[in-house]
Amino acid sequence: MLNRVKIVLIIIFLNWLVLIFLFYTVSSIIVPLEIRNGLPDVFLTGLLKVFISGLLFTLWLYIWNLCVKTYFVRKCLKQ
Amino acid sequence: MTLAVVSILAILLSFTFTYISLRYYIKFAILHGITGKDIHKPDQPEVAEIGGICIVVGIIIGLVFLFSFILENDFKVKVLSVILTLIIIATVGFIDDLKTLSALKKTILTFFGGVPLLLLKAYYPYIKLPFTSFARLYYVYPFLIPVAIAVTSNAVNMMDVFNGVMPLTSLIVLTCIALTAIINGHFNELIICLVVMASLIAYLPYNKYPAKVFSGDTGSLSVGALIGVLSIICKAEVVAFIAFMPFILNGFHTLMSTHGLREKAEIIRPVIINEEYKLEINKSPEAPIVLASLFLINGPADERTLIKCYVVASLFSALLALLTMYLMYMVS
Repeated sequence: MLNRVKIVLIIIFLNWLVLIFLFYTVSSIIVPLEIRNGLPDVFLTGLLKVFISGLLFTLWLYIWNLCVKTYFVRKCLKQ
Repeated sequence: MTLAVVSILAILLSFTFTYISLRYYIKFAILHGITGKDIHKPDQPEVAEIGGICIVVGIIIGLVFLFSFILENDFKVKVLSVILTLIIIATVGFIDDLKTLSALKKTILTFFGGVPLLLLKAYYPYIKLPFTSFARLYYVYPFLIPVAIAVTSNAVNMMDVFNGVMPLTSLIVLTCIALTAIINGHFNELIICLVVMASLIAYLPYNKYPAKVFSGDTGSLSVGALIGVLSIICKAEVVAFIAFMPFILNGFHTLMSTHGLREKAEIIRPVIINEEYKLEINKSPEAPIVLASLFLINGPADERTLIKCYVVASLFSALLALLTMYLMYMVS
């Protein structure tokens, strides 16, 4: 059974590592980010931070999907 | 009555009602033809459907009892918002069980599950992240609530495919939320979590392999919404997200491979039964890649093995969630 779960556990573990890295990046770099001269509105600054964070998470989802799909198709083709 | 006694009674009420009512409901459902085929068994037996009603009513009874005895206003608001969310999502699920809703309609309707939390302001607009203190999200947090409820409810619904998988994996996620509530000092919210868990524990013997009852969308959407609500009110967003990873993995790959929201009937089955009555991957290019496909990539397996795989994956995620909790509260 462990052989069956192995790949899913690896995917979950890698995702967890990436998520922790993303949380660290967002909380330590993006959230305290201050734009020199400042943007006209606090809301706009917040919106920009949310947009960058959203972009990072979307990129993560895209790469994750691509990797799993590639692995799955290759394995199926081998069989 | 003290809060401790009321809490224990609420938990017992939720458990007892769900357990006893399901016994009678199964007989009632079979007698009135409220059944569905268990397609992963060789003889495809008829199994009682929409058993989720008993879970929902059990939880509501427990929470209403709790609500009638508590004095603290903040706690009352939280209990009320959980009850209202549960009623909204259970109604959506029940309508879907009776008359299949389109996938888009169902998803949009689940967004309304977040409305009680927003209207009653039963949330704190910040998130505790690992390696840092709290991230304030005054403007963004309210928008994230309906999204969270819709994502969790639909992800649990997508996971409810094999006997016992939904209650077992949901209980694992709820345990992580309960532990975070203890560490956060949210003991009132912990009681709500335990009431929900009691009802799911009572449902498990009826749904475990070989299942006597299915929860239907009424049950799976409601349990998913409750996971979302509890992670918000217990301030366990990040921990719950990590523990919820197998659900996200399953839901996300289904969505990506079907290129958008599709109703179950529109999707080609990702798993088929072979001549030896074992489950194997459907190798059709149109079949979606789900968690079960990844479990079956090394060859066919019986349903029991697959159920164990789901539980192991959930336990592993829960372990990582607890590690994250350690990073969040002990290290930073």
